[in-house]
Formats: sequence, structure tokens, C-alpha cells
Amino acid sequence: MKEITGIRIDPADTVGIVLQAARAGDCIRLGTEQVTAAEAIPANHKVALRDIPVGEAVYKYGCPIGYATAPIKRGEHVHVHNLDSEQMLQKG
Amino acid sequence: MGFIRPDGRVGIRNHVAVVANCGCGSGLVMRVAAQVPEAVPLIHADGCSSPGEYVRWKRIIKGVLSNPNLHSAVLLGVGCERYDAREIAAQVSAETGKEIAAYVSQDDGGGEAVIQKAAEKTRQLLRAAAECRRQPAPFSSLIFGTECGGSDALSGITANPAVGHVSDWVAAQGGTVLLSEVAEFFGTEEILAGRAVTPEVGERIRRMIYQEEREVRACMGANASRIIERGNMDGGLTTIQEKALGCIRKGGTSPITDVVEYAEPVGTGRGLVIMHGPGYDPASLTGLFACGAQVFFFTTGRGNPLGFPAAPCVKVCSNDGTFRKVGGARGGMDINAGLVVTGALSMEALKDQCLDMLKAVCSGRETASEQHRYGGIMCIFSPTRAF
Repeated sequence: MKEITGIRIDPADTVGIVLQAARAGDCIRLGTEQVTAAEAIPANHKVALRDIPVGEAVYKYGCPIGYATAPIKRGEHVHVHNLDSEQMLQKG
Repeated sequence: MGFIRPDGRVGIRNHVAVVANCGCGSGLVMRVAAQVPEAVPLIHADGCSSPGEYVRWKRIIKGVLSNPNLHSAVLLGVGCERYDAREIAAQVSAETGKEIAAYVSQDDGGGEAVIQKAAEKTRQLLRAAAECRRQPAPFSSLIFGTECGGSDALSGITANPAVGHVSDWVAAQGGTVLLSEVAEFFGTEEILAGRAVTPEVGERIRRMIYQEEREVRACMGANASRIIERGNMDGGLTTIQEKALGCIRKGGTSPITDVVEYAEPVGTGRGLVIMHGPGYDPASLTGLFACGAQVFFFTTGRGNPLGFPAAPCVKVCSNDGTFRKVGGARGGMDINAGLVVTGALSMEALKDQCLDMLKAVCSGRETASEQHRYGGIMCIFSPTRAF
């Protein structure tokens, strides 16, 4: 079990990024906060800082970057398999 | 220190360009360039057969020729294209005071004959350019182009904020800063509009971004949020909004004074201006150059090697792993912003390094891609089709 450095950009963010690849069980330290990686997370990818239910906005840079398309648990990898933003774009 | 042109604009390079007036003349331009390797060839694939583009193309070619990094140029036309090279050259010469020579293949002997005439003229212009010397010039004469290509999840927290610091500095000096790549603004409409100097500019920003979103959705349907590249995703970016929130940081924090069209002449002293253009880097750099940008700061997470033939393109790499993987300076990278997250460099030191690089490049220091001659390409953005 390794300690991995992460970054939370804004206090309102619900995801942080890991600066090195994390494996399940690694301890991710983001400033004073700590999250256990629930699964493998590639370097510079996002880790959920709390549970995010389907449809709820995901925040990074203090702004919505999309919404969960599958239930997300704290510590999980957040990427194309559980995060999308298509509904946020202007419709015709 | 720069080259003060007859119209008062300041170049930070002193190139003589050989420019294709239309795509069909590009082969001739490359033959001239092969004979006169010190000249900068600017070839492209447009200039004809797209009735929706004729007005725009004239603006773009004139903008490229007017850029003060060019001491002078030879414009090579074919003869049947919509805009006569001689007419465009005469207009740019009258407006800028620079010598823009024109040849038209079908009138000037064709093939070998026009190549020889153009090559001889190019050599003559290079001899004249060699007489020019740099003189002191204020940073208010700078039009600073910003670009990102091959972004990754670190771009928004290392390279882009550092370039944003330089953008703020240039604006404070009385220069102009250009921020573009509208598809990379999705999700930031309210942030950017909120920084507009007037509600009217704010409304134009929103309309521009919303229209681009509609066009992306029309093209991509349910996958529209993935209008980001495979490299962006591998690098940790998941949605266009996530990418955009990082991208806009390279424009800094100044108020946004205007929105200009692709390749619209923008002038100095304008502060932060948005150019309405594509995220596609070759086309974006060409548009910014035609607006008048003399220098680009280009952030990359994945190691994009693209430069521009007639303007220095400083590469700021967001990711230390990438910087080393592509060979640092040999990969065309100038600044390793990724050191900020490894702890080897503070953000303050990175900002200073970027600003010092701008000053040095403006006074003649070559970028990594200039030293290695990685060049770039003149690529005109043409949203309507050829027939």
C-alpha cells in the first residue's frame, strides 16, 4: 500500500486528480485530506472524493464538468465510463 | 528589441516569405523555397472553388502578408483564382509600406520561368532584409497568441495558469492578448461573459459559444461531450467542459474587451480579445498570425510538436513525463511546467521563467522548434466546402 499525492483544485470539487498511478488500497493524500483508492487509477486521472449518485453534477475547478452516468463511490476512478456532459451542451 | 516596419508595427522576426495565393500554386512556391532556403514558404490548400470563402480568404491572405514578422514577401498566384495576386500584393504594400512582390504563373511565363523570377526577387528581398536591425520597442506593440494542443489533466493546473500570468503581463503593458479555440470554451460561457467589459460583448461571447455547441451536437449527437481527442482522454480529461476550464486559464484574468472574427486584424492596445476560431491548432495559429500575433505560447500535455513557419511558438509542456518522453528541447519543448507538480519548481518560479522566455524570444532568442526547424503549416480555416 503506497501513499499517492493528489490535488483538489477547488474546495467545492467532488473529484481530485492523482499525480501518480494508484492501485486499489493506495492512500491518496490531497492536502490535508485522504482518500483510499477503491480501484486502479491512472496518473493524472480523477478520483471521486465522495459518493456521487447517477445524474448528479461532478465538480472540478469549482464548476460542473458533467454528471455521473453510473453510481460513483468515494475513491473510485472517474472517467468516460461513469462521467458525461452531453446534456450540458446547447440543443438545436 | 524588434524590427520596426514602415507602418509602425513591430516584428520580432525578420522573415521574407514566399506565399501561395492559392493551393494550385503551392508546388511552385516549394520550388522557389528549395532554391532560396533562407526564405519562409507559406503554402496552403485553399484559394479557389469555395464560394462561401472568397471574402474570408482575401482577409486571411492579407493578414498573413501584413504580419510585422515578415519584412517583405513574394506572393505567387496561378492566374485563374478569384483574387489576383497582384491586386492583393498592391493593397498590402499600400497599407503596410512593405514590399510585397507578386507573380502570376499564367502571365509570367509559367513553370520554370516564374520560379526563377520569384526566386531572384526573393534573394533581392533577403538582401534588403539583412540591412534591418532590431531597435528598442515597447511590449505594448505585442500581439500575444495563446494556444493549447494535446492538453492533459495537468494543463489546467501547470502550463495554462503560467501562460495566463504572461497574458496578464502583456495586457498590463498595453499589448493585445488573443484567446481562441471556441470549441474549448464549452461550459465556461458564464465565466468568460462575466469578464466582458460590456454586457454586449458578454452576449456575443455566449452566442458564439452556444452556436459552436449546437454545431458540435449536430455533428456528434450523443457523443458531443467527447469533442476532445483520444490523447486528451488518455491524459485524464473526460469531458469538453473539464478541458475548457483548464484551457481558458491561459488567457489570464484580464477583462475581455472584444470578440473578433478569424484572421480579423486586431491591432495593439486591445487587452484580452477572443478570436472566433477552431480548436484545430494548425488553423488556429494561422488565424492568430493573420490577426497580427508575432509570438505564440502553446501549452501541451501530450507533446504536440507543431510550430508556425513565420512566428516563434514557445512550447510549455504541462507534464514532466511527457517533457522527458519527447526529448525535452529536442522534442520542441521549451519549458517544463510539469516540474510544478513534481515539486522541483514553484508556480512563482515557473511564471517568472515563462515571462523571461517571452522577453528573450521577442529580442531574438530562438525557440526549440525554431532551432530544430520543426516548422509548422499555414492552414486556413474554411468552414464551408469546396465544389
